[in-house]
Amino acid sequence: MSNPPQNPWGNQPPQPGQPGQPGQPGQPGQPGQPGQPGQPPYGAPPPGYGQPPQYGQPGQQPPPGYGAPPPGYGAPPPGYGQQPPPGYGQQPPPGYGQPPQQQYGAPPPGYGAPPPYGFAPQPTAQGVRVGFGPRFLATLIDAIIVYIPAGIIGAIIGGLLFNSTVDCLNRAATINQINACGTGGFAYGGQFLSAIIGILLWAGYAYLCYNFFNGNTIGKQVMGIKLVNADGSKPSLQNFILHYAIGYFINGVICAIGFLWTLFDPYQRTWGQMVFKDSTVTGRW
Amino acid sequence: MNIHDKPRFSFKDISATSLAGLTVAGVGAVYLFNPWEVHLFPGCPFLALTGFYCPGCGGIRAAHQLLHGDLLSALQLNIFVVALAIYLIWQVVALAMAKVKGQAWAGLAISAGWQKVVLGAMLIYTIVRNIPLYPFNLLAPGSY
Repeated sequence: MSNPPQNPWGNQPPQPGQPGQPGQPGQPGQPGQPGQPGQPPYGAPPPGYGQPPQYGQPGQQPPPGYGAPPPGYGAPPPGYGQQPPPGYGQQPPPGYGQPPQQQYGAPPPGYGAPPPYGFAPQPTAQGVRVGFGPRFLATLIDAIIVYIPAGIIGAIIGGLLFNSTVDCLNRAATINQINACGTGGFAYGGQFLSAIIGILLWAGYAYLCYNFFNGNTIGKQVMGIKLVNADGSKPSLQNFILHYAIGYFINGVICAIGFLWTLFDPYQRTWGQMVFKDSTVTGRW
Repeated sequence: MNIHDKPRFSFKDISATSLAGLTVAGVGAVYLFNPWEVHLFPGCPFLALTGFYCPGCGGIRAAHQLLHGDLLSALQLNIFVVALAIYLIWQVVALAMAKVKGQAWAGLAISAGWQKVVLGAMLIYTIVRNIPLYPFNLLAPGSY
């Protein structure tokens, strides 16, 4: 006998807008029917069908767990930079009464859902992200620790070699004044040397802290924050050193704007973190 | 250790307090001391390394001019500092209005789209202000 084409969804077309109507209880399948293994009972819609998603109706909370990032969410997928995974961007931020939109132009996965605004720490898939104040204090402590030996060494070397040139460079505000600061080699060489020494000092400090402070620098340890990768894992030694040596150089080279960028970034990243794709969250390793 | 540990301090207080303290100290220092004579900060590493004006060059002098009411001089020194001052004034007003209405303030954060605009504008500004030809060197600080 030939069966009429099965419509597994039942005969009734979907009726959007009807709240909460449970699907019709299915007719129990008749066990043991020969020749029809595995067919759904005719006319029985799958359980749960017929209930329009409650998400989107004004005044209704999405069911708990809806839109929650699946476990493992936040790990950068292969093909980084392509479409965000389905479901991303549909979680309404708490407290907002407007329909959720893809805010911020779909940032790359790994940064968690768009954060609610404000100065409070932002929970993300990597942990509770930290804002400007604690990070400023942590970096200040680190800078004091790093630049005390740097200052001593620099004062000795500078006093011996570059004294008048460094003073002149610090007073220079235009290119003419820089060129007037003395022999070209010393003028540029002094600044170049101090930039290189700065990078090396931060790299060495990062190396020591990774091995003796279990992945936190001293300032961050004091403030109770830590550096994490985009997926929440502990950064490798190479990433850690790169973040402090190159990332801090990028942050500081243009009038320290990179550090201040934490204030203006919706994900509270500095320029170095935009390059190296890590974040600062609460907790310690 | 659980990555969802509670923060050790009240970070909201630390953020707000340190930001307020820094702002007051910085604004006070720039108001009191003329950057042409008193050097509050070491020289710009970008200028010394490359010889080109960075997007922030002239910034402190522009802030000083703004605090003393001279908008035109500030624009001639550094456009971005003037734009930043306007943005901060706007955000202070928004903060006050949010407190009056009992809503949450949106913070200083700007969206990713605007970030690209700002960074792109910085790049263009850096290139243009270093061109020594007539209309462009108006953007360079201290050229007249």
